[in-house]
Parts: sequence; structure tokens; C-alpha cells
Amino acid sequence: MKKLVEHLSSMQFTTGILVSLMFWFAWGILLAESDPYREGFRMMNRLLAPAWFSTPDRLSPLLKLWFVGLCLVMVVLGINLIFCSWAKILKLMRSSQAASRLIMLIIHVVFGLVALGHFGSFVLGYRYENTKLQEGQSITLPQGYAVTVNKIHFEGDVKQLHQRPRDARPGAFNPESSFCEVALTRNGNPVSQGRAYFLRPFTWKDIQVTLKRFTPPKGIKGVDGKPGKPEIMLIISRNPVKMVVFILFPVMIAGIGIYMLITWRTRPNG
Amino acid sequence: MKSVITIGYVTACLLYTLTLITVLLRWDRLSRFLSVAALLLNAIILAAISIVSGQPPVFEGFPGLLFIAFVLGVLGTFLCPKEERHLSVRAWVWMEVLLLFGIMLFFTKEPPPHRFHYTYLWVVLFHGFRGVALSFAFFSAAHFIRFRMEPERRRANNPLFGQGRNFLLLSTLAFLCGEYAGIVWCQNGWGDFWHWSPAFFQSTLIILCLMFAFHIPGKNPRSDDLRSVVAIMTPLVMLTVVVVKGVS
Repeated sequence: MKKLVEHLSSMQFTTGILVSLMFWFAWGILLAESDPYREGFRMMNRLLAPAWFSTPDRLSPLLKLWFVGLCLVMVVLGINLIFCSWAKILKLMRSSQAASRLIMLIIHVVFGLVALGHFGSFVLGYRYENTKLQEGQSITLPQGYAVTVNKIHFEGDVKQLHQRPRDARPGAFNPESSFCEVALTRNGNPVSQGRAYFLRPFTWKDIQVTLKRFTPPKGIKGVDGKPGKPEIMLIISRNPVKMVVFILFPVMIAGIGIYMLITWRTRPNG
Repeated sequence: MKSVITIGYVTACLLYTLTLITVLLRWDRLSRFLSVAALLLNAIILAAISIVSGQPPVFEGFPGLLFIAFVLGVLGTFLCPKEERHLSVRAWVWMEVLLLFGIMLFFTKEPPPHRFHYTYLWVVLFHGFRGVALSFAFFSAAHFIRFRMEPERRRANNPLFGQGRNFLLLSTLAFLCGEYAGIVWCQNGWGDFWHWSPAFFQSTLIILCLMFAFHIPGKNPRSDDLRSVVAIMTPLVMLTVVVVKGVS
């Protein structure tokens, strides 16, 4: 038993897992760059993890295998992290370099929580991507919530709407003053309202309304006709663990910074 | 504008080459003067790109690589240890800078096209920190290359190893700062901080490389050798990602 614990908490075991993860992500890059699986990854972005498995043909078996494999390796890394952290706590109690060891322990624990937060974001909450709406239209969400688009304000050349927002020429489209006004209701009662701009989403608690892009008005493709009001494409998401990651990630960075400062080696390595 | 930048690029490249030659010849004063002149010119080109394009020169392609070369050049000029040998850390740094200039040959030497999100703070920070991280990783690699050139009997407790480790840790810190800026950008632009895409997998791969370098077990010469090899490989992985993104 003692040997097993030693093995599970060993650095050799950690490096083995890290190498496995490197291969796994390299395989992921190859899959994501290949035509048969590119759409599968897009679907993984549109939906949360439970939905990938709820319908048999939604995700290809290979991508399911890849994801399950990734989760398994991460679980093994988690086990290694727990045993390693426990060993560190024991060492900490009788160590002369207590400060650096304590910070290293904190960094590892926070890393574990950040990784858990990432996993939580795959399975918790909801996500509705590429929801096309016009002024006055609504989308209903779980728990009685609904989002209504009250106003769409687009400042620029409608021709630009046939391009991706990132490719828009300067001056032809003003992302700073183009927005949509949305209202959030629950069981018909107003909860909150506000504007969503590009890269400045509307948020209420952990519900986020993100303006992805404006789309051309229906029925008009060219520039000759007089276009009506553009539509918008929204991403509506709720991620209950978002704040955990957004708070802990800088804590981890700060921990590494402090560790670096107190262990900065100006003299031979120790 | 393109021709002005190209002339600036060729002149800077020439100055960096002369810097390397004088470092190899151990003409210290002249090499210091040439390196400062090269850095000044490099900074002027970056400023020109920034003024013309209206966006910071940190994005992929020619400006991004020029920015990385500039930060690495600053480190090489002011933070290298003094050494009594031709192939010093400083010489390896200038070789790395010239490698970056060699790669720049394949990119159009002009300000990047306008993208509205290229003035968005988190996007600028994401690319800026990544550039700084790669510069630190290259600087660290220069120390580790020099460490590996030492005869085995002189490798134990070698300060080059310690300094290489310091800058690799600094590179990790800068890279993680970039990642944090990236997840804020992703959250605000796509409503989530993670995406199943090659770009995210590449970032994760780099983080895993850095983690691997710091988790190699053992406190013996063999472990140090392996650490130094991984630390030398890490900036090459990071550079590959930068080049692939710049090309695509």
C-alpha cells in the first residue's frame, strides 16, 4: 500500500501523465484540423457535454473516445495531484523551505480547482449559440427566463454584414456604437435590461448575452435594394462556475509570481 | 510604406548580424554599440507599424515576430552574463534573433490589415504577453544551450542552469497572463472561456510543455540534462505555433 501511494504521488508518474496529455492534445489538434471532425468540434462548442452523448449520432465515436480519454487522463492527473499535495503537506511540516513549499502547494491546489472549473463549464448551465433574432423577438431559457431584443442599432454599411465582423474595413462599420438592447424577464416579469456590444456582453448574474454579429436583413443580399433593419446573432449562455475560474486563475498566476521571486536563483542551482 | 519597412528590416537585420559577429570576436564595446543601434532601429520600425496601422505591433506575422525579436534583443543587450568565451549566452541570443529575422523573410513586410478587435485591450494583452513569453523562453534557451556546452564536470551547480530556469519560469508567468487575457477575450466574444479548437489545444500543449519542464524528477546531472533539452525545445514549440498562426 505504501509503495502504491509513493508511486501515485511520484514525479515520474506526473511526467508520464503530462506526456500522455501532450500526445492527447496533439492528436486533438490533428482531429480538429481534419475535415471529417472539424464540424464535430464546432458542435462541441455549440452544446454542453451531456448533449453530445444524449443523441447517438450527434458526435462521432472517435471524438467521444477522444473526449472520454482526455477526461480519464485528467482524472489520473487529479489523483496524482491529491497524493502529491498530501505528500507536500507532510514535507511542509518538517521543512526548512516552508514558504516556497507552501506556495507551491497552493499553486497546485488552485490549478486543480481551475481544471475542475473548466470541467464544470462543460456540463453545468446552458448555451444557445448562433440564435438569430429580429427586433421584438424573444428566446425562452430554462427556469422561466426569457431574453427579448428591444432594439437593434447598427451603424455602418450594410454591405459589411456579408463579411465577418473581424474583416470589416475601418470606417465602414462602427463596432463601438453598434449594439442591441435586450431585456431579461422571468415568468414574464422584468429582471434586467441593457445593451450588448461586440466584446461587451450584457450580463446578469451568471447569464450572459453575447452579441456575435449582425446579419443582413432578410431578402436583401446586395446593395441596390433598400435594406431593412439587420438581424442579430446572439450567444446566450449561463455558466455557474465562470467566476470560480476567473478568480482562481489570477490567484494561480500570482502564486507562480511569488514562488518565482522567492526562489530566483542568482547562485548555483539548488 | 512597405518599402520603408523593408529597408528598415534589412538594415536592422544587418546590424544584428554585425552584433553577432562582434560578439563572436569578443569586441565588447562595439558589439554593445551595434546592439543598441539595432534595437533602436527595431523600435522605430515597430513604432512606425503601430502609427500607420493604428494598432499595437504585437499581432501574428511580421509585426509580432519583430516585437519578439525586439524584447529578446533588449534581454540580450542588458541581462546577459559576462563571459570569457566566443560562444557565450549573448552570442546564442543574437543567433536566436537572427533566426526570427530569417523567419520574417517569409512574411509580408507591411502593417497588418485593420481588424476592429486588434485595439481591444484583452486581445492586445493576449498577443503581447505571448510575445514576451516567447522572448523569455528564447532567452532561457540561450542559457540552457550554453549550459549544455559546458564539460560535464562543470555542469553541477552551474549558475547558467539557475538563470535559465528563472527565465523559463518568467516565460511561464507571462504566458499564463496571456492565457488569462485570452479567456476574458473569449468569454466576452463567444460567451465561454474555453473552445474546442486547434488554437486552444495549441495553447494547452504549450502549457503542458512548460509544466513538463518543471516536473522532470530528480536532482542529478541526468535530470538537469533532460530539463535543459525540454527547456530548449519549448520556445521552438511556441515559435511553431506563432508561425503557423501567422501563415494561416
